[in-house]
Amino acid sequence: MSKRLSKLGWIVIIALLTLALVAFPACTQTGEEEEEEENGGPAIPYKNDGIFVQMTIGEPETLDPAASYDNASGEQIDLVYETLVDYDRGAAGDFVGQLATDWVWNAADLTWTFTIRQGVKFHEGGDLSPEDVEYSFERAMIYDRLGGPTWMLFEPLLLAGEYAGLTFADVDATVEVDGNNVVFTLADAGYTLIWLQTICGGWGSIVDKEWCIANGEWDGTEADIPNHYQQEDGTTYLWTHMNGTGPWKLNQWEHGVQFKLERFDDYWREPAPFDFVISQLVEEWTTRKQALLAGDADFVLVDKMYIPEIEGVADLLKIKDLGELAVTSMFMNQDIETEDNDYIGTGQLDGNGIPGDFFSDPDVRKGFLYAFDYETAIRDIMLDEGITPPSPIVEGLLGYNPDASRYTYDLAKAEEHLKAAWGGQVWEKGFKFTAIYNSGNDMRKAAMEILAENLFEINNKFQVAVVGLPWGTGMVPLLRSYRLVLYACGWGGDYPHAHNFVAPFMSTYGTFSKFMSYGSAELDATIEAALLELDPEEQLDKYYELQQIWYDDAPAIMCWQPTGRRWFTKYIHGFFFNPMIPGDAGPLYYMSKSAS
Amino acid sequence: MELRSYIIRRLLLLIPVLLGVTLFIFGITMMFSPTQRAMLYVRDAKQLADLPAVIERYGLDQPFVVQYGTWLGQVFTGNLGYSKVVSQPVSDAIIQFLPATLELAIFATPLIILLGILLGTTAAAHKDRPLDHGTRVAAILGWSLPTFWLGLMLLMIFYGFLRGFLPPGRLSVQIDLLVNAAPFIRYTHINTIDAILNLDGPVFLDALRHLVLPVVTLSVVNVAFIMRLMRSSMLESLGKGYILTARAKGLAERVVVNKHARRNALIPVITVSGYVFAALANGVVITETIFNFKGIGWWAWQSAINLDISSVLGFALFNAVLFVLVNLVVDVLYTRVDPRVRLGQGVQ
Amino acid sequence: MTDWKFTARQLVRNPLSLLGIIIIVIFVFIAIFAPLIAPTPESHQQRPYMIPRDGYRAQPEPPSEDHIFGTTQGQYDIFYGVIWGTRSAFRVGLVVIGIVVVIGILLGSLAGYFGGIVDEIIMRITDVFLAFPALILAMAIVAALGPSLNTVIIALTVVSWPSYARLIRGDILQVREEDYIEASRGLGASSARVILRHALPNAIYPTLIMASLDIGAVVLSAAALSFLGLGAPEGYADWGQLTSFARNWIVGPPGDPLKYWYAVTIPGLFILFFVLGWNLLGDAFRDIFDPRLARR
Repeated sequence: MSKRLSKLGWIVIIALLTLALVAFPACTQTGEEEEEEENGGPAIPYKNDGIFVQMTIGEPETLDPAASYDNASGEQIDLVYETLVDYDRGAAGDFVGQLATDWVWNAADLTWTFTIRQGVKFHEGGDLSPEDVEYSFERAMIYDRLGGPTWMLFEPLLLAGEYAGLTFADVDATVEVDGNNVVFTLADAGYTLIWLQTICGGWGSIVDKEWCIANGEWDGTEADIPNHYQQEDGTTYLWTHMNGTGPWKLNQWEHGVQFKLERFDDYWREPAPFDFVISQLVEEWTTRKQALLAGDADFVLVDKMYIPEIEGVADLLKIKDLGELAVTSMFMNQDIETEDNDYIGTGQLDGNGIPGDFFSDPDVRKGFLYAFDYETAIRDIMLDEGITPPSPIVEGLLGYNPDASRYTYDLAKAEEHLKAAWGGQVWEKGFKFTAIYNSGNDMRKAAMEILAENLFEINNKFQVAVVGLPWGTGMVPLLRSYRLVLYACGWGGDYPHAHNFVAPFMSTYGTFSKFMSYGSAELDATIEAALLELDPEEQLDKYYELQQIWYDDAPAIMCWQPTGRRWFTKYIHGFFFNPMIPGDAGPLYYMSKSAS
Repeated sequence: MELRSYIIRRLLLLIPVLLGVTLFIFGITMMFSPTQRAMLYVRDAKQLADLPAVIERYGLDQPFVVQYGTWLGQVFTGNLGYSKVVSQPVSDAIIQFLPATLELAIFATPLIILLGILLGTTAAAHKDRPLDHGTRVAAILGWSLPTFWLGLMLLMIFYGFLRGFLPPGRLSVQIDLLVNAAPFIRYTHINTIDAILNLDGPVFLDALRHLVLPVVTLSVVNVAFIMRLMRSSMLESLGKGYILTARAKGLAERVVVNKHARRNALIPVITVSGYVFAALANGVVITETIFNFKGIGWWAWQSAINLDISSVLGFALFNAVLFVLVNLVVDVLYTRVDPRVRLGQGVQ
Repeated sequence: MTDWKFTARQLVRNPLSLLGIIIIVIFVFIAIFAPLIAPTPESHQQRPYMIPRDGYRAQPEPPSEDHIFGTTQGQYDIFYGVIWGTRSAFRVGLVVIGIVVVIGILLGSLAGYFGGIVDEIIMRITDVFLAFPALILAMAIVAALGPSLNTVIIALTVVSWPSYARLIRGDILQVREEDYIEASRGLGASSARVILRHALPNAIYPTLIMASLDIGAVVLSAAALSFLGLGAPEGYADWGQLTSFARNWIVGPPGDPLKYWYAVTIPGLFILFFVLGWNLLGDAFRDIFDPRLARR
């Protein structure tokens, strides 16, 4: 007996020794900061001097600036590449030069002329030249990744939405090198401001022409275009390689784990404030929270629902009431593809499904809009940190009408419309379909559940199942093949202009409207008229008119416009808010970290 | 049977099994209609705009056998498809994520087996007495505890309360930078082993510090299996004639239990130890997520919830091969341990 | 069976197995009387298995008069969820084990009795299934078929049957060599008859023991699938889902780390006791019946 006990004892002793051995460096490392605060939990120790560590949940899709159109990619591109001009800190209407030292508008020729900065080096050693600028824009346009950002370039330059239908000569003529200048010729004076705003985005990044060509990218000739036009995803060299002029350069991309940037020593401005910027992917909220409280992360992503959990921590830098230019909506597809579609039940209006044109009846849509409880959504889901926008033109944009007509939660009116829908058949037989949100987004899920519950309450023959699907691999293919019935999605502005919100939601070519079969040539004309109107008063009227059209057409449920929050450890300084910075952590080049 | 011919026979037997494995996983994907499968295979929006072309290009409307043949052909050339979740080929993803999981398994397997043997022996030696009941209940408790609950609790105590003592992740930020720069050479990407090969103490300790919590979690959850096996195996062996003889000879109970009974009872445990190693792929999914210890389990799970079918298939195939090979190795070792077992009789 | 009285006495005399029996009886009681213990609200009559909710806030609310166990993430009533979840647990456990035992007996006895090529084919098929890690295979099946309680049942059946087939085969092999089987074969009895009347009844005990042990394990696997987001639909009364709701609330705010204990512990305890009950019972059965253990 005693021998077995002693054996157990040995195991315990060895285990303790190992633990002590392991603990030793841990204790010496954090031993300096031991004082406990009265309230607000223990003090957060200062760790990793000179390194900015953030923990979020999105993996970059691509590092190619001409292809990237998601936040996680845009964030890294923003730190590595630079554009001709940039927003002046928080102000969305003022600009500062980045790779351009000067920019001049010529109203007679409709040209923007940019003077290119001298002495700027790329990370791989090349020198910045005006030819690089011309190449960058032309490459983006002839590549024209479907679902990518380039549509924003075509519109002001060529009044087009894509490369198809254009020639290389058309594209070539819009951007020309003139000595040390690069001249862009716009299609209409209405785009003057929008052009500057557009090229502040990651899609306006300047790449090194010689380096690109040497690595198998488009060689700049018309003959090579077929090899690169809408090249398959993942096959461009720039997809996984970076060579910009920015303050940081790519150090290592460990897929699914972390993304590391290191300081670029030959940067043309003051060297970057952090030796390394490390973005780790941590899916588990509790793990992110503990890392923030232990000082292992300087910034973590905090979903709205978890705010009460860290609100009281004293050692955090808490930033709130940020006016995000973003909106979440639920879209109703008016012309659903019924073939091979699992989400429409029987595909008939027989109480066990819906026909493909179910939402083409305005009474159905209005019934749905009245059945959504906007106030509960703001209170329970947003924890009162957000507002309900009446239309896609959200607060903060020029053209926003706070007094626009809006739908409110009114079950009686909802019932009235649904009774009238499809000649009374909807009410009599009921319907059944599946609504889709991107899995993991619990806020969108909750919004859909509110709608589903309320519809069920109006008539228990109204059955909406709420299902989450992964975004890229599940929802996008269904969306683009018109198979989604009712789906929740969010939009964050590419540039701070009402047009960037109207076009995706209301035009025949819009990111959302196209795939819910909403919009008409007439409406497109109205949208263009509003955009190109040069008189500010008139323009405001036209955007007000568009908001009224939105109300009358009732194409989608506007759920909320969030108010932003950020959480850093108290050692981070210099944050300022600009809704157009793709990374949540903000303008890292202007920020710093110190123990004081 | 000679050892070499035995191994050859076993390797030949692998072929029908692996064919069955591929047929089965391929069959799962065939439950989708061609359009749906086309949507799973497309890599970009351009192809999506023209699904019939994708169906045509990949032959998704061909008869089952033809499609299976095509797919199998690709697999043989090492092309397991493309993992959208981590944007790289599936084979690269396996290479990237395997070392982390291997590292967990290398540390957890011996711990699980030793602990299981110890607890199982104790329980059997005290059958139906409090120590037996206590050990069994404890083991079952560990087994039925939700892994994530245990993991997050450990994280809260040893990382939260103890001020960053045992952190999540695989390496600290600064050590990670050190490891990825010269002169440190990453031979295996298994950090503890690389640290030993580079004779780097701080890296080794740091890696060890990050390993403690996930390894403990895995052990607590999986020890019940071995413990119960050991207990019943011990009970069986304690009932054998030669034990009764040994007892009758007046040998101390301790000697009987440890020397005579345990040696024989160990055989079934050794048989399954390889299984434990391979089966950790199951248990690591949640552990890897919670402790941010990104390995192959995390990747497979991300692929599954993202309906990334080619990754799941690739992973399942890889895992099946690994499993079968590990079992083969164990069976061969087994014959060394217990010469009474002749080759070719197989192990049930 | 003449053994019945002996078995019953053994079970009751052993405190652990007695505890197991009591736990399971309580759960059976809860499952049967769920509508009385946690009545379905009027508005919910059509779908009693969906947990009623009280708002949409993410943060769990502590026990109160309206919700005696509190509410979990999304304001689902925990009490209602765990009570009706008992039914889901029995359904998954019993259905999966029932199907698996039938398949196992069928294939296992075929393989064990006939041997040769039949045996070889069936065993290679089980090899194929056993080559996958169970959870990964179940994940793949659920992902392919779309998450629902029935898919979970299918997936768990697919991953569990091979070990039963192997077990039965092994036992039949053992029994086959026994004298009385030889004798009945010698008397010219048909294969089916020999399997059914002689070989099976003697081989089936270990299977039933393993089955009772596995009911707990099956429920645990179902909970794991639920936790990974591959289980019953959102809001369905299911313990696995209730525990997964608590995932992000295990650690409360600094200064009050156990703030959400109710959301975390209550569903966890239900799973724990359920699994514990079946395990204790199964262990006891094994100790009593295991033919390899000398009855002392």
